[in-house]
Amino acid sequence: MSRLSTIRPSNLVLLAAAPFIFYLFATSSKYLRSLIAILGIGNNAGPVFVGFLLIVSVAILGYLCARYARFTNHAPGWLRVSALAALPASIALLVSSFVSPQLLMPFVESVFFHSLSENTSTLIDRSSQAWVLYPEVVTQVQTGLQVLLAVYAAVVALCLLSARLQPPWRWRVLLGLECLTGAVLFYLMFMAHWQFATGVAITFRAAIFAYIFSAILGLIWVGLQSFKPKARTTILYGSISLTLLAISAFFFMQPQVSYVLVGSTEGRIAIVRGTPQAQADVIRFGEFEGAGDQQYRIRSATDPVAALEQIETVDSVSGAFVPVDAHTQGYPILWQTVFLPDKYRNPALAFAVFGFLLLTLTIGGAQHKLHPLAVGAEFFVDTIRGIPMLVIILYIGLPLAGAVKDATGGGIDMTNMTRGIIAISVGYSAYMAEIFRSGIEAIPKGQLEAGSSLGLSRWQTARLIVLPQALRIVTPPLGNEFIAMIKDTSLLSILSVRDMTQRMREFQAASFLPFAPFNTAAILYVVLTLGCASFLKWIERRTAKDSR
Amino acid sequence: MFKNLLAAATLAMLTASAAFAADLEGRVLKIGTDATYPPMETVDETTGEIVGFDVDVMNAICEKINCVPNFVNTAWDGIFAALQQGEFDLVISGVSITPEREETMDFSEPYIVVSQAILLQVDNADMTLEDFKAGGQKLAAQTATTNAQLAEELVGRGNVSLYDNFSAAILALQNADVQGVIIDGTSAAAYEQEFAGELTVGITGLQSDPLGIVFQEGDPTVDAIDAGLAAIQEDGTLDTLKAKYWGTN
Repeated sequence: MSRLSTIRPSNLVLLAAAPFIFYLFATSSKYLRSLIAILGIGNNAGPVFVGFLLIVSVAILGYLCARYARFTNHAPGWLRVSALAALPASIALLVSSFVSPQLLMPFVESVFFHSLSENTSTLIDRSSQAWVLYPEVVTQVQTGLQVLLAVYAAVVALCLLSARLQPPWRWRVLLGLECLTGAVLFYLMFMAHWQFATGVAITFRAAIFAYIFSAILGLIWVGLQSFKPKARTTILYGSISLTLLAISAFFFMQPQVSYVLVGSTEGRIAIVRGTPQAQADVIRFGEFEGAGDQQYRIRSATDPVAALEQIETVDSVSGAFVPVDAHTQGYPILWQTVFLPDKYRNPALAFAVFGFLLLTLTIGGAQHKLHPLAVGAEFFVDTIRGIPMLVIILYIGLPLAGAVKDATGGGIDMTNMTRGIIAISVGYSAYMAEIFRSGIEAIPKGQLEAGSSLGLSRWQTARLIVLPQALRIVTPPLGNEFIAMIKDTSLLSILSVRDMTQRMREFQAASFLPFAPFNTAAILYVVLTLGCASFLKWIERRTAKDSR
Repeated sequence: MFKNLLAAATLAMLTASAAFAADLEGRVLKIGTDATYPPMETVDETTGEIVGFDVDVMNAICEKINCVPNFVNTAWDGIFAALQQGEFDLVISGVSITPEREETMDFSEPYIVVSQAILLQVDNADMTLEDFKAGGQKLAAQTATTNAQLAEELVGRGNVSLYDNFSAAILALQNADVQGVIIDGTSAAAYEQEFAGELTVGITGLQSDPLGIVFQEGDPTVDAIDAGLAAIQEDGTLDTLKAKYWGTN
């Protein structure tokens, strides 16, 4: 009864409603169907879930075992029990992977399959509609699993033994083991594919990761804003921006290319791939010399040869816009132009933009006696807050991620989920920065003075006096942001991330049911957010206790 | 007039396809689709796979030209932006071929021509286009579709309510927030069947839209897909598929 009274009132309401909700899902087939669709319960979910549960519980035991080893005395009883259970459990799992691999393999196989690159991997058998791994690959995965489990059992054994190590090494080894077992658990919970509940995993993970990254970014913005200018700051940043502008000028002075418009303009005009959009638009809107006052239809071609061929082979094409050194003999030249090719123009523009931006920040900062980076961080926070999240996601998810991919020659090719997480982090970091700033500014200046009069350094004052108080102030608004982020993950569907909302839309369209999917999604989101809110309250209570 | 053009185009394609056998050598095509549009594409409740007319057409084409389709479900809002960024090799999602879209993207030959229709509540089954034009009666459509364009042309922006997806538009119709939903005729039949006794296809035969498969501008894959399309038109697969989804067509 005393335990019941500690439950938060809103959780109590949800608990009271739970039987009715379960009844609803159990008795109404349309609710059950929407639940399955929205949670993203895939095929073969049962066996996959069993495997997941087994592996995760052993991973948890392993982690607790590593934690337990750090206690010299007074370990809580439950921790001791789980630590002692860890080794038998991991050995049992290892044995089961040899004796009855069908217990763990569905989960492991699905994790392995989904970590492959879908379109290019050679390990996938695509001959039938449902793609699967080749049988020999499955065997290798199974061997891999057995090796991993054996290693894990050894690590757990090491955890138990390491308690006997001598002090200088002891702490490093113990910390290493705890990180290792923690990483395994983290991978299973937050990275590995959950075939049994893909939708909820995507929503939850996107929010968690975005939250962590946006908090880090927000702290960076706040940190930048606290920079104070020094005597040479203006000169230093001024010269950096002038260098950027000089590089830009260098690119602008690169040789231009010469293109001709040949043929006639009665039909469509073939444009070669890679022609700058601005040039294509000049033709499309008839802005070249000798154009009639009308728009022209265009068609694309892969290269100049193909473009010239199209004049002959494709009826609707009568002209082409090609480099002057392409083989254009025999076609009347309508118009000739020179321009800077994109490979020079794009870096030139990019350097010019960054150079001018930095120059403006430096001048503005010098005028107001602020550090240029502080001005920049403030500018960033102000602008990002003003842009709708959907636009940020589209920009970062498509053109920016594409540019990164191009710039690294395909080296950094982020998944859509990663792009979405980065986009949400960037968008929310602006709000986070403001929350952190308000928390820090809420600490009276007198406390800083008290700190320095006690002989504490600036860093010590920040760590021991300002941050503990500021953190307590910002916890509620930070929790609020997390709940907002959980719901904003639904915007990621434009990057083909199939989270709970997108699954709800799909199910709605397929089943023509209007409200059952809505209600189900609402219930799921409420459960998720209430869970998080309770967690945050728990943290608030803990920090409050610490500071008393 | 349009039918003649289409026939001519088909004939031209048939002769063209005979000239070269397209073969994509088992390449995996990443195909963007917004699977919230029955019967063109939806997510099958029981299997979780994307199914529908477009999917069947694409599978049939790939069988002819040796490619492997990999359908990726994505929201309509970002679908063309993603295509232009090279996230998808192509998009098949009941996309109408329009001159504006042709300026920024490449289309295959049309694989089906659909006329648009207006869904009405059964009580108002005898409403005409004039009732909407006269004002006061609202017409709903999905944002950024040719249905929305046509709706604006027909009754003016003031009488049109735009929704993010068709489910919401249908819901608004059931709520009588709007009096009609303008939708492709192919889908209208599916909705009428689902909401029998409640909704009906009241006004039909509005502007015809040829649907095409969409490619990034200048993508040479379009020729191979066109060849495959011609092949399934020739051997009757496409007609069989149309019959499967809409009875005789």
